[in-house]
Amino acid sequence: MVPVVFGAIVFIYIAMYIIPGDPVQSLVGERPVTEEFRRAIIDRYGLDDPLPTRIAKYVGNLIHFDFGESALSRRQVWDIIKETFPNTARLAVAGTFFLILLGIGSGMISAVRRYSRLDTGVTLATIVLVSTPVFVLGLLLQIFVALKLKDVLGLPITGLDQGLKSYILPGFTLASVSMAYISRLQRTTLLETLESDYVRTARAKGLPERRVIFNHAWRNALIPVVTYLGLDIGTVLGGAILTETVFNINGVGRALAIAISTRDNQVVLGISVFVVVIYLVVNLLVDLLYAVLDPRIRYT
Amino acid sequence: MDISDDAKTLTYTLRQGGTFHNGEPVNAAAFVRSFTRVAQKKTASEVAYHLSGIKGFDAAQEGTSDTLPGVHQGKDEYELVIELEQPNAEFFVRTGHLVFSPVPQVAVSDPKGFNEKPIGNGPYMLDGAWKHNVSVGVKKFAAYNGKVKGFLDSIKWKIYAEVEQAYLEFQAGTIEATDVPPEQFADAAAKYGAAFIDQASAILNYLLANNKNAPTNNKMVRQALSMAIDREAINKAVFNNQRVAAASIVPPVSRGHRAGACKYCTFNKDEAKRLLAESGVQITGPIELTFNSGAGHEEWIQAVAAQIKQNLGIEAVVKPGSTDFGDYIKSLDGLKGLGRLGWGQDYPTPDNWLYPLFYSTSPDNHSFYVSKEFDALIVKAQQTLDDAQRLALQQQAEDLVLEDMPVLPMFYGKSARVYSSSKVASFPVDIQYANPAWELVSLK
Amino acid sequence: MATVETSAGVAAPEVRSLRGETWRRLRRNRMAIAGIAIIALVALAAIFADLIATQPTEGFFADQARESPSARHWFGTDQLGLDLFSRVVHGTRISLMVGFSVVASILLVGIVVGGAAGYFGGIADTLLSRLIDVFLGFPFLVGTIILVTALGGGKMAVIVAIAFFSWPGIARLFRGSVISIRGSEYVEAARALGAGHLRMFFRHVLPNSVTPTLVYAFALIPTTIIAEAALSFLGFGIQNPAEPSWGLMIARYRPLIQTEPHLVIFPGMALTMTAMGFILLGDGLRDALDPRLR
Repeated sequence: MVPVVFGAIVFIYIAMYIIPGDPVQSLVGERPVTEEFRRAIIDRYGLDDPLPTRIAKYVGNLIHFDFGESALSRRQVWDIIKETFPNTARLAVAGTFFLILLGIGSGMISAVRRYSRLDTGVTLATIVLVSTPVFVLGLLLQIFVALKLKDVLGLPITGLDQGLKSYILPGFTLASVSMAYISRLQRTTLLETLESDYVRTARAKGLPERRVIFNHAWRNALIPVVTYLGLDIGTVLGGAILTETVFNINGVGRALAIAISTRDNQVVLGISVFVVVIYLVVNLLVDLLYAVLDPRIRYT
Repeated sequence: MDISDDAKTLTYTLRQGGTFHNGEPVNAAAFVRSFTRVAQKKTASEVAYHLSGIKGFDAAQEGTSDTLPGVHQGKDEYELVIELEQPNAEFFVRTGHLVFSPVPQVAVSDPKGFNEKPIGNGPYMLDGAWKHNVSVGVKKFAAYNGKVKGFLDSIKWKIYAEVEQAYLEFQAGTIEATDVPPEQFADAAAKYGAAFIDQASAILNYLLANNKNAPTNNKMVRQALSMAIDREAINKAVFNNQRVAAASIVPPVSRGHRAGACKYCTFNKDEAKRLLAESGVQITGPIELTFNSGAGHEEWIQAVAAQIKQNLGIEAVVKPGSTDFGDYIKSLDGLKGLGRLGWGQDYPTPDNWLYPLFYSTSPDNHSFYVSKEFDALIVKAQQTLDDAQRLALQQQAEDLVLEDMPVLPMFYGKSARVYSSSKVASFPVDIQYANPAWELVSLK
Repeated sequence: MATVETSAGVAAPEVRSLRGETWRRLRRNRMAIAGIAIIALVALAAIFADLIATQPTEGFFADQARESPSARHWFGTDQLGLDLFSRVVHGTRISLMVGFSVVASILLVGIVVGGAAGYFGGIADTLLSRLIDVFLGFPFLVGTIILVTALGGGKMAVIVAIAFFSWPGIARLFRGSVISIRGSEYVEAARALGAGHLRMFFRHVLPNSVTPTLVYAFALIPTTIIAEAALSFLGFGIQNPAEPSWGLMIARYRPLIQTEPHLVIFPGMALTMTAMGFILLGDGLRDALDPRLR
């Protein structure tokens, strides 16, 4: 984990080095910079230190949990993260909920009704969804579902501040990216387990099909799906940038996108490091969950 | 307010008994505190330049002094005196700008806290915490002793990254008033009738010509380029007629505007070609056209490029600039052609259109335009107390610019708002700054 | 991804007959055939764009701005009076160019790095695997946005940025395949006969281990096309408004979505169709190689 985080910091510093433009000018916006002011800013943020020194300083501060401050709003980067991350986390939970509900649900239907019209229909529908870019889907849902069907459905157009129903459209939009994969994976693994010996044994004992599927097969079939969900956290974070932008959600993704386009480098760095850490922690948790679901795996 | 005969001293009599929202008195000391804070180097204020001209301002900016001796209390705590280095008959107009507002003590003792929780002295005070990028609210300040106390009990602004999102929410009925995206003006006018208010704003969009680099360092080339652009056609196609083709520097809503002041702003293909030929300039490379990306200028700049190509028969190439405005401004220094910029009025005087954009040493003069004659006229106008005489000098200066064409005026701004006609009784919009006059907004 | 890795062992032993079998299975898969048809259509549109879409994609035509779809302008026109159908058709070139350039370059890098790690093992493997981990630890869109901005935007920057964060997946997968083949008997035999590293790698290891990697790389084409559109939509990718990138078109036409929805819907559909073609064929290829998944 440490080398990955360090690698991320080095990458962003190098990227910031080659970024076109003048960091001091970016701070003041359109007005010309006086020499005194330039000097003050360069000293304040150590802009003319060599790259290794700057990275060492940053890492040193990071160890003391100091993410630096935004050059534009002069707010602590950590405050910005604290304020935006909960929204992204909630959005991610909503997205995962839809993924599980629709992805796993449709995958199970496909498996149980293998080769039926329903199976083909589900496959096609999920492929159309995954082929539609998040931002296109979001924009269309906003206009044609939230606004045009306002009186019927009453779903909010932007933001997450109107209770649970606020999460429906953004959550679905976010989930659309991976839904096809989850559905396909669930179908495949469920089919495999349904043909395994122990399921055959269960059937032979005369258990009803419903119990065979839910009590015996499903649990095992979930393992690869859970693994995929964990691996998918990167896609979720990427999708969050787009979903948050379209739905005006004050999350880390949108904050990052804004910081990059305004060259607010400390914010870019802080959020990226944070996101990388979250990404790694979630992957670790997935490994643990994997062990819970599959008793054959034991961590010693 | 009183201006001395030499136009160097301004004396303000403040209303008595006014307080900040935290109970501190609004007196001369509050203004001295505010102006000094803005001028000090350590504040590094981006808008400090509005105070330039006040005695001691330069020393405070350079950091050699921590005080601003040009601002002090008069005969009592309700008299404020501003002393200027040079005569400026129009300085009083500037003081309407927000940066001249008084601040309470906390602004100096805890600037970060003040930034999070601003304390003012108007009819409305901050209501609850400011949720960054989400919402901010104000409520009525009970102890306000000004004339217009406001009709609404509280106002909440929801913050949207894009105006399109706000307009969608308005249509869905979640908010009672909003700006309208320019692309939707016509649609909104049809849908909302009298509840749609569109209004010219004190904004000029122009194309800056780089007066240093060839080929735009030639005045006739600039005149030719300007005449090769059909502003009306662009306005109709790209903006759905929701802007106004510009033909002056000082726009219609500003004091001192003269319709048609710019004779090179009307589309005339043949005249444009004649001017270009007469200039004797051989155009070798393409004319570059640049703009700050992602701010909605993509389409009209492409249209301008196409027209220059078509009407002058020379190459024009669109070069998208940075999304970061600071970077973009810097890139204009090396430009070989035209770059998009806009100017919004800070205070209602022609001087605010002419001095910043064209005075040779002004930091906002990005075209590298230098004219001794222009500079002299501007300085002379600033020293002239008589309104009519001063205006005449300013118009002379504007004419000079419109002959040299260091920039090509393109469109005056227009802004539009809609409000919920079922809930809102009146929604007046301030003409000079094109913002709603919130203290006058009332509900049914 | 996990499913593809397991197929490495299956794909290895008999290459020729497997290919025939794969093709037979693919032909029977109706969805894959639909995918091929869509890709063919998109490719033809890209190749013959100048013949199909004859109206200009740049310039300013004031008298035909913002028209609804008609016989003359099938998809309508935009604010500049440009024919949307022409712009969408020419947009296929950008999408395919970006898609194929990225995949070709990441295959090259991924095979070299993954192959070296898997073939030589030891310290080389440890170092290269750590490097791959670092890249995989970076959320894709976050990394590409930062890099594409650092490179100043534009088509080339988009290709480089997407490729930069896509090759590690290829490298990791190919490394796994190489390791599984390295220990096999016939490779041991070739080594015993004194074959050199390069010859060994290209004659024996590569042909027997590359198939799953190729299938995985193919599946990255639609991801890449959508990533380009997303970067351009957010304002970081292709920024020159004259370039008919579908993502950029959607961003530019977005303010008109309420009054002229077709301006957003057509480029959006083009994007969805193209991505779908590649996804259908990619799924078909994977299923054909590993029929257990069907």
